[in-house]
Amino acid sequence: MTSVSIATQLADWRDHALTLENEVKKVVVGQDKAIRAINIAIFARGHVLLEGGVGVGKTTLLQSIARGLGGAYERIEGTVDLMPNDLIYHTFLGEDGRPKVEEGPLLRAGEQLSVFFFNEINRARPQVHALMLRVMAERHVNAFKKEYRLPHMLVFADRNQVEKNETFEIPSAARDRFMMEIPIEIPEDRELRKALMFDVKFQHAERLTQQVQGGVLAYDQLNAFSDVLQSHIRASDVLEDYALDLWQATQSPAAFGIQLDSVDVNRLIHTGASPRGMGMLLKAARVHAWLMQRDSLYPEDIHAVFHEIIAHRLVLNPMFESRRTQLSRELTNQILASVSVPARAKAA
Amino acid sequence: MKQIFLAWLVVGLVAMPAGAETPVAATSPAAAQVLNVRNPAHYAGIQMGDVLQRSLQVAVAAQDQLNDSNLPLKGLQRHGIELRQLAVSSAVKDGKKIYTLQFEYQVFANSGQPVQLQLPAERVSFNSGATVELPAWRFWLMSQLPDRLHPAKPTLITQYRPSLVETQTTQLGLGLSALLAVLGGLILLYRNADWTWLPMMNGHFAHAYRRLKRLPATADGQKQAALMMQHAFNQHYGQQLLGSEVHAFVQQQPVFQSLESQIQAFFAQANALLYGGQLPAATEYLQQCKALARELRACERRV
Repeated sequence: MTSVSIATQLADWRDHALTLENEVKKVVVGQDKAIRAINIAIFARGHVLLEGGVGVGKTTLLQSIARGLGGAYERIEGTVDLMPNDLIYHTFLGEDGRPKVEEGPLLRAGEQLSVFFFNEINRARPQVHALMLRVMAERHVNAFKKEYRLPHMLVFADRNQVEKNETFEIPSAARDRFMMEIPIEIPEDRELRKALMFDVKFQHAERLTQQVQGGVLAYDQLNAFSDVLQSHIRASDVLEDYALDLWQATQSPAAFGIQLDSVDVNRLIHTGASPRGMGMLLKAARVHAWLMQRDSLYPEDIHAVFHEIIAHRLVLNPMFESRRTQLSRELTNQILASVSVPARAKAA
Repeated sequence: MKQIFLAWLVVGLVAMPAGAETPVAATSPAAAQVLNVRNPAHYAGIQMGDVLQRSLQVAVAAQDQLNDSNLPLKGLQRHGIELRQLAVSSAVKDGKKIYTLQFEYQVFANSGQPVQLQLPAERVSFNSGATVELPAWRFWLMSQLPDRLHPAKPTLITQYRPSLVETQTTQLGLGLSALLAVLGGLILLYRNADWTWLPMMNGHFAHAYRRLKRLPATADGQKQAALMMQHAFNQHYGQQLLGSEVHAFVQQQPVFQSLESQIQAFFAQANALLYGGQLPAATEYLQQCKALARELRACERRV
């Protein structure tokens, strides 16, 4: 492929990506940052965990994204009695009164599946988590004596961070499979809040998502384009040093002079970011650079996705787990504020 | 006549040794007999402070006794001669009593020229009425001092300082060396010092500017320049300053507000250089960085 055609391809896809963003922004207000993050995850081919309270628009957001992305959209609700087989198949009595078996939501659309939405994933049992982990990593599953390939599938899951009853905490290994954990928060802007309350168009989620232009992206070409994009964006040695410092700071924050008001950082971190997590960080940062019409990575690109990619990967000591959301966000903020370009050794 | 002259000569010659001996007169030979008189061995070359001794040995009857009250007293001075000591001893021998008198004198006279003095004549008397006279004994006092004493001051010779060694050239060389050493030290200080102890010299951009001046006009140099400037911005901002945060930065620190567009331009160029691999002309870029650092330094100093 020539450089001209690559440039054209990059520009065309960028237009589509920005169109998708704008389409979703028309129906989901006050979530621009989350929309940009999901857009990045789509092009970085990463799964997304949404975190937020009840009724903040997570489902509407995902349905809008799924409509713009094209392909099939499947959804399952996490419940305490949900078993792995419920994702694979379900049984029912047919019209003829005989039992029948049909493919479950994970298999039903086959290779056309572009978005699989797992609502309230933390209500599902660990057995279900284990199945999802495998599918997310391998993008295929064996059932009915054959292999179902899901090459274009992105998993969007959400978890309710408020309720803890009858929930199963997602283990760190499972969290690490998600490229991003995106917080969905109620907009601060007073006008937006007023619109959400009084504008009747926001009262009908299904009708709202229908306003999003469908099939903005060719979902089945995203994998190939993602490879092109990733190989096109460069990282300089200065930026590599910076990223390494960031990684080290997630493991030994105190070494970078990072302090938190309420806790001792030396006792806070059990394990820092994983190599897979750092790989995903750079992958997402490259997508951000591409969206910003650049062909090289800037620190801004890393900053743009650092919270979403790193915060949920940090393994905190158990005594701090109950405050995970607050502490991990606080720590990532401090890391970005304290670790800087040039690297410490070069600045000295 | 001739016979008479020869007889007189013989008598004279015979009488001379007797004359040479100190003639000791014993007024009553039967009562006191002088046995021995001994005078100092030298009569010349005597000096002030010298001690002279002479002794007299007299034999008297055994029952006779020396009259002590007539003896001269110790300490008696006569014409510069002081009787320093007088010792008397006696012994009986062959039915006679023999007295030995030991006189010890010390010379205190002084003269600028040799002068003849004498130990005074001494008279010794006994209870029987017999007396013995020890005649005076002459000697020459030879002074070591000049005859005329004068104050020392007029005769003093002025003590001049020794003539100084010629050191002008050495001093000039030393001064020149010291000057060069001080100059070299100042140059080294100028090149290497941080100057942070000086007022208005410890700003982040002042520090960056000093380091920028030392950078070579190479690709690595310009990268270092961008990093130094970036570091100075980070220090001012308190955290990593990104190009997209320049507006927030100048809002936070209004002293830099007038340079906002230049800071934006710097970040655009620095990002292209550090992350995009686009290398502008090194010399020109370094000049731009230095110029911006100077302006930022001025803002930093609020001048």
